[in-house]
This record gives sequence, structure tokens and C-alpha cells, in this order.
Amino acid sequence: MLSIENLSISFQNKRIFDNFTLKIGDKGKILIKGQSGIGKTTLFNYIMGFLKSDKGNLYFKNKKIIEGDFWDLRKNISYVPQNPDVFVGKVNIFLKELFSLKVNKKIQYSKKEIYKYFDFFELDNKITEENFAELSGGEKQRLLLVIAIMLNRKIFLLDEPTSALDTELKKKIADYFLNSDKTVLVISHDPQWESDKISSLIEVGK
Amino acid sequence: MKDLYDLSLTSMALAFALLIIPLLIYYYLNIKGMTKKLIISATRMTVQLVLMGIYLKYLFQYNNSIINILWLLVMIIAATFSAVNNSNLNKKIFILPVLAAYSISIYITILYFNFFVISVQNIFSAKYLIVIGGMLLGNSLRGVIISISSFYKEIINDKNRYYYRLALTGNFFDSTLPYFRKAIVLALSPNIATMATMGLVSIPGMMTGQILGGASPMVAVKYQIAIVIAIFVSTNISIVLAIFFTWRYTFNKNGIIVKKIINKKN
Repeated sequence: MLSIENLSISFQNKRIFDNFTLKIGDKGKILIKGQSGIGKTTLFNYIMGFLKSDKGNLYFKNKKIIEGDFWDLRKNISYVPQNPDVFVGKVNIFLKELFSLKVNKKIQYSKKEIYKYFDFFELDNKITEENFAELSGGEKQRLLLVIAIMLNRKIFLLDEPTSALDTELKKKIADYFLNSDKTVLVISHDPQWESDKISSLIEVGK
Repeated sequence: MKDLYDLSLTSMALAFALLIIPLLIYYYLNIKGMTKKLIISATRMTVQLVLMGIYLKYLFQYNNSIINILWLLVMIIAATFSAVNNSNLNKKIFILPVLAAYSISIYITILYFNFFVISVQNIFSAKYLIVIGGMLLGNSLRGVIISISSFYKEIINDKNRYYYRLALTGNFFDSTLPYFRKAIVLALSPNIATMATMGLVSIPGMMTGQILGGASPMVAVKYQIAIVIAIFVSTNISIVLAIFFTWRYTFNKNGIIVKKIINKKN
């Protein structure tokens, strides 16, 4: 699905990846670990074309990604950022806008469908009436995870997606993604993600 | 112009004499800096307007279409430089796109206005091209600068939100759309609000001038309405074009802002 070849990339003037190579299969599950603030997110930012590498190549379905190709790659990515503050306004407006975007037109979006996931992630249906900013950190995380799943894209990039959740939910969510048939890259400190389902473990800064 | 009294030098001196009141206020309240600022600004205003009076006199006399078109362009260039310089936008990036956006929108609006609305015989005549063009110019630059600043500041200040949109929408237009919307709302809401209160209390400056100049109030009102609409429309066109024209200089192919947009001076 994705492969990274000889990647060298710096974060705050420090080399965090040096000649790094990684091949990720269609159902690959990649766990990225390392101290806080060491620049793990840099890898995601590189994959999505938010920043440039010093050196290295990125391939998606064996096609080399060059500048300008990232738009198509992004359409295949469901991203959950570490900082879940991604919207200002009511949750239902957020959802409506997201699913009416051209890129998401194919998705069957209905309240019933989304409530099914809310139920699974133990979210109250009433949050759709609330302001996004007023949700708790854990609610925001779970909402973004639900959205990521509903987008039904090929690759998940999850940046500390369970940091604000309790142990039981961490487990439930990790299991859900580890057992999915999609490509998953997750940055997390939570031990619930460490499982035999993980195909590669990357320790940044070692 | 039969009813209009000219103002003699004595009258002008008496008008300036009124400024003694604010100067006294600043002196007694000990407001530092205001006195100097007021004197400088009032002097500038006087010199600039007198110069304008002189050049307008000659422009009206010659009334050459080409000179008029070029003169309006000079005014647009000067206005753009002053507006961009006074904002904290990076001059190097913004001067040209804003100038282009501005010129197109002003010329389109004014030519439509002169040709269709007023139906002047010569749409390039100084009285209509330069005077009305100057009016459009003075009233729409503020909005354009506000909207460009808002558009870029919102994207830069909350990268997290912008990146999420980039990842999610998969195309540039949808990624920037909320910022575009906000920029337009922010810049144009004041104009819409002003429109609604127009004629309620105060008499707009242009109408005052026309009525003093001998026009009937109804004619002055019709011109006022048409001009307000023209200003509003040209501001809209300028904003949209200005943001369109700056895109190619500010974002890379992946939709990331790569240039220094804001000069931190304030």
C-alpha cells in the first residue's frame, strides 16, 4: 500500500529519521512509539505532504508520490490528529459539511449509521447538538475516530487517538482498528496497541 | 453651481480655527502625541486636497480619455501601495496580485456604471471616470486588506485545523473554503450594515456635495444609491480576485503556505 524509501527528515533541526525505509502492506498495522516531543507526528506530516523531507521517496500503490500528487494520496487517508480541536461550531454542522464534500459524496451518511458507531464508541447521540469546542477531549477523540471510520478510506493515520480515554475504551478502540482490514499507522503510548497484530513497531529516537 | 458660495481664504482660516477646540482638549487632558498627529494629518490633508484640486482642474480642462484612464491607474497604484504598506502583509508577495485584482474590479465596475447606469456620452470623461473611480477606490481597499489578512491569518494561526481539512477534503478549494467564506463575511458585513442605516440619520458625504453643488435632492439620492451599490460590488470583486491571485504565490502544490505572509511589526 505505502512504502517509504531512504527517508531522512529533521524536526526542530534534529534528524529524527535517517535513511529510514518501511514497506506497509494492504492490511499492515504499524505502531510508532517514542518519547513525547521527539517528532513522531513528523512522519504523518510527511506522508500527507504537509512538510518536505531532506531526502527519500514515498510510494503509494507502487507509484512514486511527487509534489502535487499528495491531493490524491490524502483522499485515501483517514487522519485523526493528536490535537482534536479541528472545528469551530456545532457538531451536526461539522458532520453535515464533511459528508457533503465532493470527495465524500459516495459515502452513505445518515444519522442512523453514525449513531451505530456512537453506540459502539460509547458516545451520547446528544453531542451532535453541542458545540464542538465544548466536548471533552475524549469525546472529541472518539468523534474524530467515528468520522475516520465512516470516511471508509484505505489508510488510517491515527496520532495518539486514545490518549484521553479510559482503559476499557482504549482496548476496545485498539482492537477495532487492529482487526480491521485496512492499513493502520498509529502513534501511541498506550500499551493496548501493542499486540501481535502489529506488523512493524517503529521506535523513534532510538 | 449658481447656488454654491465659494469659500474665501478668510472662511478657510475660520474653518481651521475650529481645530483649536480639539487642540485645547488634548492639551488639558494631556493626551500625548495627539496634538502632533492632528497637526501633521490636517496639514497633509490640506496639501493633498489642494493638489488634487489643481490636477482635477487640469484633467477636466484637457479631458483626454487616455490621460484619464492612465490617471485612474496611477491612483489605483498609489492606493494599493499605501494600503498594503499600512497592513502587515508581506509587500513583496501582495502588491502585484492586489494591484491586479483592484485594477480589474475598479475598471469593470466603473465602465459598467458609466456606460449602462449613467449612460455618459464619453465613458472615459474625467468627471465620471476619475471622480467616481476615486470614490470606489477610497471605499473598497479597507475591505480587501481585511479579507486577505483574515484569510491567511486564520490558516496560519491554526495549522492543526487547516491540516485536518487538507487531509479530509483532498482538494485545495474545499480545504480553503471556510477561510474564504470567513474572509468575505468579515470584510463585507460592515458594508451591508451601513447600507441598511443609510439615509436614516446622517446625509452621506457625496449627497451633501451634490446638493450644495446645485443638484436636486432626488438626483443626489439616485446617484448615492447607485454609487453605494457600485462600491459594494467592486469590493466583492476585488476580494475574490485578490485571494485568487495570491494563491499561486503563497501556497505550494500540496496546499501548504510556504511564504512569509505576515510581517510582524505590530
